Amino acid sequence: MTQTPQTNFSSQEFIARLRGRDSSAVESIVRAYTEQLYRAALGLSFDAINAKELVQNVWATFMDVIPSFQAKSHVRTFIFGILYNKASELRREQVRFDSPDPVEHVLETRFDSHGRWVQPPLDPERFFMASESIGLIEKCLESLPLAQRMAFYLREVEEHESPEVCKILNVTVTNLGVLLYRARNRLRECVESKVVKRGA
Amino acid sequence: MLPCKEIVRLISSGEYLPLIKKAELRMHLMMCKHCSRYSKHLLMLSDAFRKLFAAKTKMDQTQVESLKKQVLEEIDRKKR
Repeated sequence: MTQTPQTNFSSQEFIARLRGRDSSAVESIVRAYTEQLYRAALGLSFDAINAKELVQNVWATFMDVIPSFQAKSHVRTFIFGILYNKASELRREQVRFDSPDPVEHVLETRFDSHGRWVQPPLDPERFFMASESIGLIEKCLESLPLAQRMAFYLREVEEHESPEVCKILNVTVTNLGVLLYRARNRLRECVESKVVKRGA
Repeated sequence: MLPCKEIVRLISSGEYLPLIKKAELRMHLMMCKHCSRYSKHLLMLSDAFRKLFAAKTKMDQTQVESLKKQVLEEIDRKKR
């Protein structure tokens, strides 16, 4: 994708150099992914200063662990996995799949016992106007737990493939589905509630 | 026919669907006004967030370059 065309980051030769912390290999990987990492850190709602610090941290850890990199996944997946772990450490957040998310209760109230809508979604035009307000959607995104935000960001904004997102978050496909289900419904409910409150 | 609640779950989780179920989902969306609205909402959301991040990360390249430089310097410093 954004990697320099002359370097194949998946080649055995490159991985071997990386494991040996070869300066030019390290430099090319840092140059290739720092911007994406920084963007993702902003996507996780870290401010500019903290996002930069987080990226520095990711690379420091990367240098510590790269000699034992197994190359079972792409090196980009590996790097984003470190980002996610570091971010969860900072936020002290653990994902839970065994307890329901608040949005699931909200969804329950929207359907009858046959699964038919009793509180249907708003008129798309009004919803669209709310979604155009950057301040509003940013607030909605900030209210998501980290894992949901990361899943949504990687899948929806960066358009990473699902198997890669699963590896980064270290979750099964089923649990990624749960995270996205919760994230998208929370965001939709959040935006919609703002429209209703405004009485627009 | 699948109930609306299940349609909502399928659309929002992005669950992998076999072709037959995919066709069933499409049929449902064509016929059901509420679910079709719901699915439009999700598309609007994803557009809105792409726009948000495009705006957020339209960072000037000098800032990104200086971050890369800092990272490389830090790695270099640790090596010595």
